[in-house]
Amino acid sequence: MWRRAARILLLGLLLAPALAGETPDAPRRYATEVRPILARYCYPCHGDGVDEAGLALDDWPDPGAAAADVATWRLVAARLAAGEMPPAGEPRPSAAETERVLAFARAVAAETSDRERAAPGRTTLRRLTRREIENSVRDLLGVDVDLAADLPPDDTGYGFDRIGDVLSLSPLHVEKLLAAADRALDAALELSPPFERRTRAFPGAELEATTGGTGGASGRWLWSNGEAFARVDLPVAGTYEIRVEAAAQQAGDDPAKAAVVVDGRELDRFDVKASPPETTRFSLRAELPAGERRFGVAFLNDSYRPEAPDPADRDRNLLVVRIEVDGPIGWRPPPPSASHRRIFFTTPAAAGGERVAARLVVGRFADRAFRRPAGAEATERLLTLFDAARAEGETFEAAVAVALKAALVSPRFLFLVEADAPGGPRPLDGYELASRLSYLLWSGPPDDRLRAAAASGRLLDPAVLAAETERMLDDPRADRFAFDFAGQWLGLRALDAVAPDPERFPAFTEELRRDMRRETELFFRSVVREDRSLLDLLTARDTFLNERLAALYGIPGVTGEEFRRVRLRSPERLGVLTQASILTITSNPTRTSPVKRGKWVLEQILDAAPPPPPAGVPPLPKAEGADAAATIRERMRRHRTDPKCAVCHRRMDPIGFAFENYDGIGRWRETDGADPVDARGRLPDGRSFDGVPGLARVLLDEREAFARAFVRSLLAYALGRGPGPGDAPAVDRIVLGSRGDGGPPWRFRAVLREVVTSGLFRCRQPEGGGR
Amino acid sequence: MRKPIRISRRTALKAMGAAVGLPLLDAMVPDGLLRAAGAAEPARPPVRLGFVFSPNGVIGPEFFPAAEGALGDLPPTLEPLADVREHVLVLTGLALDNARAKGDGPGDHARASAAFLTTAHPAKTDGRDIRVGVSVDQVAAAALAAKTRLPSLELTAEKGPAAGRCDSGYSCAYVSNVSWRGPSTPAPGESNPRAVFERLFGSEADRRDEAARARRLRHEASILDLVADDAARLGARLGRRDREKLDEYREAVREVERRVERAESERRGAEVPEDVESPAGIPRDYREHLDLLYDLALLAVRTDATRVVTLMTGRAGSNRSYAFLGVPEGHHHLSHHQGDEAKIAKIRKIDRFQVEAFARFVGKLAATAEGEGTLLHSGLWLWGSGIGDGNRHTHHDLPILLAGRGGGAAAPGRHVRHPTDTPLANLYLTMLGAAGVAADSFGDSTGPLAGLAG
Repeated sequence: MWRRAARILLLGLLLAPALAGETPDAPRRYATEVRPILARYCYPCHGDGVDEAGLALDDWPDPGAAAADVATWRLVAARLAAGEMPPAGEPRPSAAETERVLAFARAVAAETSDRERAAPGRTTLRRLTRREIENSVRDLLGVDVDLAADLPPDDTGYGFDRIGDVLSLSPLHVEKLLAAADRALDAALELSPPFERRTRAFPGAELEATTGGTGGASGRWLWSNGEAFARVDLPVAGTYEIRVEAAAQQAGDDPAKAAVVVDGRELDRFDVKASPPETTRFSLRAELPAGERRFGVAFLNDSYRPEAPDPADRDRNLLVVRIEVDGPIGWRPPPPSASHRRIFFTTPAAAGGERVAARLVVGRFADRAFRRPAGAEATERLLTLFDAARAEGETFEAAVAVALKAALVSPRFLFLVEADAPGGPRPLDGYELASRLSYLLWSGPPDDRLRAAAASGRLLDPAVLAAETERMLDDPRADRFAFDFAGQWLGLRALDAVAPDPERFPAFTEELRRDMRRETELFFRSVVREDRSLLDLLTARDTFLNERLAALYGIPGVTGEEFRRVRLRSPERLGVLTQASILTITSNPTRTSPVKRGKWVLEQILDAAPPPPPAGVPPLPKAEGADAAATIRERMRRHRTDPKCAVCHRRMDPIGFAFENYDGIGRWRETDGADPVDARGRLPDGRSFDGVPGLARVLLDEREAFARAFVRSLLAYALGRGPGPGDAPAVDRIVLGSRGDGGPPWRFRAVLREVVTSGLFRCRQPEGGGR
Repeated sequence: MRKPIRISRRTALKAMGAAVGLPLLDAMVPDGLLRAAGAAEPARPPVRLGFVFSPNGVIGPEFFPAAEGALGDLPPTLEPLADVREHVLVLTGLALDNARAKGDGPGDHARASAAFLTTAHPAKTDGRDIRVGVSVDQVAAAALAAKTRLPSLELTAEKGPAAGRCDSGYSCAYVSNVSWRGPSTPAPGESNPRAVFERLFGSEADRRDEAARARRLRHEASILDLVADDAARLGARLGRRDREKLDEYREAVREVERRVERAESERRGAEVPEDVESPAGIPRDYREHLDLLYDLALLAVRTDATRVVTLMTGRAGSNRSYAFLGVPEGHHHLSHHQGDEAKIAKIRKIDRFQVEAFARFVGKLAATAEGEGTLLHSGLWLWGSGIGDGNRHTHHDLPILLAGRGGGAAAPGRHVRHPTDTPLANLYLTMLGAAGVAADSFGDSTGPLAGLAG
């Protein structure tokens, strides 16, 4: 009841301005209060036909349009507040006038932000990805287990594998999840029953042999040097006693000699003096590791002399009568592991009874697994599994583990649940917001501190949310975000599937494949960790290399496997555009693909994905005769002569050509076959460039489009849904809000902060609600 | 602690590679399969259905026989079928109308895979409102579910997830899956032979410790019951689309619950045939991987673990390099050959390679005795592509092979030409009928396919 009331209150607080804004007086305020100030101080450069820096503050068709132009007001407010505008030496507004404009800008921004809240878009109930499941289980149990590879791959949509609509769940998932939960719980709780000492006995008749001889009730005969053996699966490392019993058909002066052999290694020798039916017994103890071992008795001194005068001297053979393996001897269970203690934080003795202890252990685990208080009823339901298992004779801990396993396959664990309230959009509650945040930044569940901020509701305060975001970015778990987002946004995952032609690219090895990915991951991580500008992705003069990659790039002085930061001195390499990973995934197995590279830049960097080629049009027109020898550039010229193709290829191809100095695995080259590389390109708007450094300058002109592309991708990743038509204003606001004033624009953390504090991230729209 | 599984590095199912008739071991025969209770007449082995999807179409002139009727001289791409031609039907003229654009623009590869077994037109989306139709294998699986341990087995030779954007605004789900349990729910394929093996026969640990297995199954039955109930409770607070997701979860859980209950009722896990070894993980070599998956498909029906199998030799639009054939370029890239003879020759090599792999599989089916016949008497195994001509992205004149007799539903050894644009769904309708699955229509079918039984 209380929570419900609190939610209504919160909803009221968040949405109040929106309701008040039903009769907005912003256009009137603009016309009467703000425009005169602008006219006086700003129009000299930004009005009356002058649009310095592309900004005119008087070309809105009407006051209503002016009052709705959040982007511009944000910019004006930022410049004004920072005192950057009007520029030094020009007349400045008074403090009161400044405040009047700022107040107006704030009101406009608030109203827009409310509109966003009113239509935050809708994420379909999202299952965790297999990577997130693995991370969640690891964080929950405190063990390092690899689970993701055993789960079916997650399908992608909008370029990401975290899309609620696309992530599906099949019986195969359920089977694999059950098995994965078992593996994780086994590793964390080490509930293997105590290992009891026992003897495994193998009469000779059951032994295998490496050499000829008969087997029967009396034992296994070895007629020549060789080994009679049995395989035993040792449950645990420890001391084992090996007892053997043998006899021999003696011949010559020496007795038969034998050895006890484990996995081909001789442990000790002994003489077999007995002849059947007498036997010689021999035993020894050895420290052995767990696993399947081969225990054998080897015959060492075979002798066969048919010419010997005494028939009793002619043939020496060994009879292995029995092998026994006894152990483990003196085994003691190891002390409980840290992960075990973490789960079983109390005991029946300490808690005053088994049921109480089970409720505490299962309850706490469920709270964490479900990322919110599980509730007494849900815990009680889980405990029915404990009760049943206990009644069937499981140990206390094993019975608890059954309940924990249920929590790990429960929908409340597997899905990021956000309930729909009847009516319009609502702000997320603390727990929902905490989960969105932690799965964004850590691909895993909230930690204690974030949970506490969620429980107290403090997380709903944007300042606390921003502070938590900072803290979480400084945590090593943020690498998960850096690697996962970079892997998907930049398409690095495709590296796993590329297959450069080994004939043409013998330098491409499995190691190099990993290195390429690593370079870009580490580079993107440095953007996250060091709060670098997004523009560094285009222009950075540093990267991360090890010896192999440095050799590929022709950069001297980098030795060894270890990656380290390397300053780039030659203009050949800058930003991610010239990293081997990107250059390789945008190539065909035998050659570069200017089209793929151009498309990649348009799609990932410029947020201007070209429409795919129209149906029925093959990528390149038919090559005839002499064409076979034509360079790619020449053959692709036709892309741009056929009007149907030209629309897109006139933009894609020139960009792709800028990369022609980099071969199919990203090596620098001056020639393509016999021809010198021509890396010049010219865009439809007339801008031209030569090579990637030149292209990068053009892309810098388009920095805002790049920032927008990044924000849109980040939103898809953060929200688990594709872009919606209602998102555009929010994207604009985030791009503007994170541009920063002075210094490098769009520092990563500013962008991220704007994303997580946006209405899109903090609110939820019920089905059919909003819009 | 765990017993290391003895793994042979190479194709593990060695004995199956040898073309020898395997006696139908009694242990492998499900109760009542061969002999109906009390009857002296041997019962007929059940009809098994298999569907192999191969991406990017083929070079038609090299694939389609010139003449109808008995398969005599085979066209170059089909030459590998020479030894098994009496077991195979070449069906031409079939089409997937719903893989065509119908105003949705590009994305023929995604549509080809999405429509291949559903014969439905996929909604063009990268995620929101993803929807196609239930696939023929899943229709059969649902009808035959009660008869076997697994209602169906989905295999794929594509080992990694699809990365990034798949095809022209279609979600990768359309590209990576041909089996659809529900219109919005794909049934993903398993690519790891070892994992497939464990699904068929249980884990090594289960096989070693039957008491522990029984305990685990008992607990799992209760767990699944509980979490299905969780989903029901949760759904009450959610919207329609969210509830659909939870329904998907519940159905998956219920299905596994049935499997668990079934496994529980069996005293012990499935018996691993003596001539079979547990395979290792995914071989690096694609040829080996593909052969292994075909072997597992055979093993699955031979042990009657399931009666419905699908196998994707690659994702739609796969750009796999076939360097081992001397074709280092990407498959998809080459398939747009624009008449270039050199490229066509390379595509032909790929086509032939895929037909060869299928032919080896058919040979093994033919060599595996069952009752008084072989696995080919009871089976119907389709091989095909959702694209006819890879260069032009057409969805008619699809390359379709059908091996086996399906208990008499098909009379193989022939080339049967159908009128252009005959729905592929008609073949599926006939296959469903052969397997005893009652259906009046399937997808865009217009009736059973004529001429299959001769």
